[in-house]
Amino acid sequence: MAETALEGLRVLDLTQGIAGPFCTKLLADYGADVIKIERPGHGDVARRYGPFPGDDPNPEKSGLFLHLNTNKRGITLNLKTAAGRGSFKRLAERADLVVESFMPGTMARLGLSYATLEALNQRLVLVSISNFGQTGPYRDYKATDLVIQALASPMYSKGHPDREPLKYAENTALYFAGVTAAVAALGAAFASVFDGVGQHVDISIAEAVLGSVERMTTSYLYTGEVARRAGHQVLPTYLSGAYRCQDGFVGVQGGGRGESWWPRVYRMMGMPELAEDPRFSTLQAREQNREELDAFWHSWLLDHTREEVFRAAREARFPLAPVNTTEDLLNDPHYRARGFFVGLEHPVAGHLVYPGAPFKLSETPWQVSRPAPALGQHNEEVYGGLLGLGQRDLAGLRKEGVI
Amino acid sequence: MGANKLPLEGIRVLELAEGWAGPWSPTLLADLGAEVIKIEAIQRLDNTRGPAQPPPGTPSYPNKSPGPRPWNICLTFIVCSRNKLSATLDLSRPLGLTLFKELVRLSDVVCTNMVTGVPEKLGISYARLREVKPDIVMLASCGFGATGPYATHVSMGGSMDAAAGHLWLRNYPDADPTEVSHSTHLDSVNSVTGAFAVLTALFRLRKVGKGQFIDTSGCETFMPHVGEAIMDYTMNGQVHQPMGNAHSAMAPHGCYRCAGEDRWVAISVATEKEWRALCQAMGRPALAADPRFADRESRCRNRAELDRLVESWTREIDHYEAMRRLEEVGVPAGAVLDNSEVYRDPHFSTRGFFQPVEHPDMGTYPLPGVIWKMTRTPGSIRLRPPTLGEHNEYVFKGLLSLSDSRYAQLDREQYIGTVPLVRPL
Repeated sequence: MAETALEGLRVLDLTQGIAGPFCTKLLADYGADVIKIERPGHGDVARRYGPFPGDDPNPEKSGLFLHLNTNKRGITLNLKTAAGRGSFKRLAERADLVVESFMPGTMARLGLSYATLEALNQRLVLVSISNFGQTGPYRDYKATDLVIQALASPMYSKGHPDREPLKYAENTALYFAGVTAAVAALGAAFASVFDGVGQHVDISIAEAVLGSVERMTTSYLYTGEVARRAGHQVLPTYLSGAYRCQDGFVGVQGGGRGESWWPRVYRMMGMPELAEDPRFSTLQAREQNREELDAFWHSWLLDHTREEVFRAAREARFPLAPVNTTEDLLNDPHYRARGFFVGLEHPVAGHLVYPGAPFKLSETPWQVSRPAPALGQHNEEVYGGLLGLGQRDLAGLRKEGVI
Repeated sequence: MGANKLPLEGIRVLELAEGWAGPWSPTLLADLGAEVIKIEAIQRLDNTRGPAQPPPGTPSYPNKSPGPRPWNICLTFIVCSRNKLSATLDLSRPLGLTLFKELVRLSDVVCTNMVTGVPEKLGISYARLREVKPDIVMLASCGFGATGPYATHVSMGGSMDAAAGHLWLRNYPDADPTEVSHSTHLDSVNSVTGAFAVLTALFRLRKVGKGQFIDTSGCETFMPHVGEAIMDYTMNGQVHQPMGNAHSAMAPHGCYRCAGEDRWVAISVATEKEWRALCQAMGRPALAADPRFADRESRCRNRAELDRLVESWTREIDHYEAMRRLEEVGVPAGAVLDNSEVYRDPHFSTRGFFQPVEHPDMGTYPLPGVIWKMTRTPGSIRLRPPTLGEHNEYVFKGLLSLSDSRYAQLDREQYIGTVPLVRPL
């Protein structure tokens, strides 16, 4: 095993679902020792969500769970028992971070508030990830990815003007909050590890999305105008969105530097002379000759395959790429060449292909040293190794339903 | 709680980046206390500063009025530039490059988002920077990364959205991709992941004193976010199709029309308890016993009918009111807020999410603030977005100890400056 970036950082992970586990997965995949703590008998709710191989709902085979929990050690612990809380506190004395994603107030009800934990370990960081944060009028509101997107994403302005607002795909808001929480958690770890300062970090999933994704909020203040749904808006200044070609679709964003993209578009179409053509050489001319330009553009696209269009775009250095399905992603030679997808062996789920490194560190690469844990898989290793409990102690805890 | 130093205080980051994806990573590092110096050439500014002379009425400026120095207040630049310093330097001439390397010698991190190959051409590749600062951390962020057949291809948020599989999935189920709205979500994912990447490398730098190169592909930062769709394909050969606002295992799950013009509420029901509570709130408790909706599977099967029923209730009610009534009985619901409502929303304002910022060229506006709340190292917008080259003296006279006369010469020879030289596009 190569050296890892976050070696020596110990994280107790009380999260379940998507946002919290993705945060701790990022820490684990880059080398932190993440101990995932699950409720005996039940475990992380993600174990009950698919996809399952062959639709067999075995909690050790959930694709979502397997993806989100690589490199973590898994233990069980019932925090509702005094013995369970006792064991948790002893683990917390030996940890740098605790990450939790309960509804606000739950940790305090369990007798595990930040004040309690701080008294045990002054430099401990408690990261709380919740829908709307630990304070404020929506503190206790329930949410899903959809509800978060409604309140905090550009959803209102996405979609067709005559239809309902449209969310971003699948669970992307929850994942987004997960990376944001990882930034905050690791940021706070610097204060803990290097300055000896522990603290409570409050991550609102809604604010994580609002803070980075919905940057157009400010445009309202600037102009007093509300951003509305425009569907696929085609502006004469640049191309954006998806277009049909011979055998599929390609996606484009020729914005930003505006005017300077057009010569590249013409070069891509094999018609570099259009850059000098008075009908298409300026913004005004393009507006006036819109239909003619559209005809050139669409007929060129329909004459070429996705692969041909993409190759021409690469040669002309124009920001266009194929519209890929998940199947396309797995078959793409680029992601293959970079080794993005990785095959992992799991004792119950078998050999499966997973999404891999979100970024590549030259000296301490992303690596999977263990697949997602089975429920309670590392009880002996963790309770024995960290807390010095023997077989008899563990048997006792098992009998009392603590682990 | 006493005043603690911020987690990254003492870390210096040089930003050679533009657009959204590049600059936003250093923004988050600056929020954590790093000293971030944004470096641009007056010959070529970050494109988010807009044109040097935009026509009045351009929407990226306060009251659509660009003012005498529009490059300082263009919208995306303003949002991305809190807590940063601004210096100018023309790297394309040897003296500029030498000065840049002097700065690298005094820094911990260099963040770039140029297309693969461009840093090499400019003489600022990781190999070159490591010669002057062996333990430098370099973030090279690009649509397709630093290696592989498409490494040198130009990307923007919208094209990465297609290439990484997001565009295909975020659509109405009955529409084709040509109908989809533009999205720069990939820029956001790329940049936040980039900030995390730098933190991992910095953590090791602090521990063992070694730097490294971070190869970041915008597309690859996103793909784990659709991990279950990818796993469904690798496990079962299932290719996920766009589902609009629907969910494979929850119903009702959608966006429902409310009273008023273009007002909507999002509702999602996962459990039987939530379903019964929804029926109660709609004033139709008997619906809970209706065999068409008796369990999750039936509700998913009959989702179209269910959606019509739910909407017949929501369309008589204000969207905020619908959210409140449902959340009070434990049903996940969210008013679909437009970008004016977000500012007025009582939750975000109670938590102080927006922070008023005063700027000489912009006036005072509440800008989105630091995303996380930390009890001992809270972070805030401690520096307003800088004006172009505002920190040239600090950087060249202070950090690099150049004399007044050398500094004046740099200015005269247009290595540095505070006014763009050419029209940025």
